[in-house]
Amino acid sequence: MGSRPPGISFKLVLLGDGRVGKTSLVLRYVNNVFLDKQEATVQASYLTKRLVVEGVPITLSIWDTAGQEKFHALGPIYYRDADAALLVYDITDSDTFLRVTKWVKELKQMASKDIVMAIAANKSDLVRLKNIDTQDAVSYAESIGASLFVTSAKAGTGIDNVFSDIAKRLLEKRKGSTDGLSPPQPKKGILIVDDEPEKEPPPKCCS
Amino acid sequence: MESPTSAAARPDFYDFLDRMRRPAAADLFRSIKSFLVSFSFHEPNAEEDGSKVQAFLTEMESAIRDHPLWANATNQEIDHALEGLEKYIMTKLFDRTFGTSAEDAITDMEISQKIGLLQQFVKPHHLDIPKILQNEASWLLAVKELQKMNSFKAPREKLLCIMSCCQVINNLLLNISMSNDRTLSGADEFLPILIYITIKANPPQLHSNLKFVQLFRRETKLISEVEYYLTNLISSKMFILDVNARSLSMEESEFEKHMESARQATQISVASPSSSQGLPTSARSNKEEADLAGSRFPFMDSETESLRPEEVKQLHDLYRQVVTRYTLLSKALRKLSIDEDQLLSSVDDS
Repeated sequence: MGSRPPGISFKLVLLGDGRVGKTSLVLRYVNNVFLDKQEATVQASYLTKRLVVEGVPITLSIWDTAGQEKFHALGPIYYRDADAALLVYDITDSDTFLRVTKWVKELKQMASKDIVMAIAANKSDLVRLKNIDTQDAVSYAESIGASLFVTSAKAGTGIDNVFSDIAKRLLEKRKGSTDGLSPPQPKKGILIVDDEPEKEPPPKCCS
Repeated sequence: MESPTSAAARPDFYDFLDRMRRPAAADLFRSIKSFLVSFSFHEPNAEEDGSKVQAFLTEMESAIRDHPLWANATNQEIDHALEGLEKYIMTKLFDRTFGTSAEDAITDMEISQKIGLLQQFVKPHHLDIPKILQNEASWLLAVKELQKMNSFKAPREKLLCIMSCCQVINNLLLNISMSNDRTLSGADEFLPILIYITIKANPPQLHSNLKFVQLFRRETKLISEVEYYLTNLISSKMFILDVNARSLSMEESEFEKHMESARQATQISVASPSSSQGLPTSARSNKEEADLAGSRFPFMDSETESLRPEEVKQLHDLYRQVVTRYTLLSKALRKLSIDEDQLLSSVDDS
């Protein structure tokens, strides 16, 4: 268990309202299958993808989160130490876009780190059914320093683009930091270090 | 998901002990011994103890790697040695590192009581678990795995129980999706089921177990998938602690009504075995209680000066239990709007 991913490892958290298709999007990306017919034995909530960006091998650990409103408050437990967030909404449902803006606000408030964000406008295969203009969403994404990608898990479009955009920006950020790109020491593994001092609330003074 | 119990990946603890007994390992064995002894100079403090254990494991990793006994060893063999070491030291340090603070004991009890109430009325649909995914028989397996966690002492073994529980859920979700031609929904479906299973299981000392694993499992092993599933159980714990009407998809009044009748049901079942004759206690049963107290609190008649060091430790443990119990009882009394002092003086009078 817990086999060490090679190269540089990043944690990517998936945020999106229930039923926006965020899981299908990632399964499509990782396995290159749309799960109408599923064969490979996979689990759908934690996935890894290895890819090479500009000659550098990197591993994305992809953390799915429950998108239903009632689990919203649990979000920070998952995204607190993430390197990147992929925010997914349903292009045919404006409420799901509102949820995205709510998460973006929370992510921006995390003082600890400047998280890489991208937005996926999913279910674009349904777009011809309704008249949808993504212009507002595009300018919103720009305003928060993210890109917007129109995707369809069903048709398999736009998916590689959104993930390679994230990977590229993660790598740039890492290059800019002092850690540089030095390969991990053998056997030390890659720690996904929680850079907050303690996961538990601080112990109350007992005296 | 890798099978957590596959034979090839299972470190052999006896092999580790065996190697440590060899003369060639004497230096390592001495380091371990003196590390364990060093704890007796400090008061237990889970966070500090955790950092010490983590630093020691890292230190020992290089020591084992450079040791003649492990010359030419594969990474896996070294890993197994470290698993053995973690299990050995954490078993030795268990009593001082697991759930020792009064706060932890109180949190454990709070969670367990809350779950006790929720168990009485929460149904899968309150957590938006679709009918097609409801499978009480398979869930029972996951429930059992989670309940097992408390019976292990090694952090790795506790963690394996969490992983097995999650694997059962994942297998169930996968089977249903394949046999029904249904799209997998990842965490949207996984988390609610895990929460429901946590409620069903009411795992003993849930908070202390999670804290113990987070602090004492080797850091290099708390990554990837393992970290993800551990995080989900922490998330379930948070959900349960903060549960409210909205998070169970019900009206405020309905939620309060359920909680109230669950509380009453719990009180009746707690109260009935102890006092079958109602409140006014007879002189006879008073005496019985005093005898009982004598055996449960063995130091009541001891002289302070005559206590041996190990008895002081025992006494301290008992003191913690008493404080925890008292805190909870006071809380319960406040909830019943009963004034504690008044109640005590009324008992003294009779």
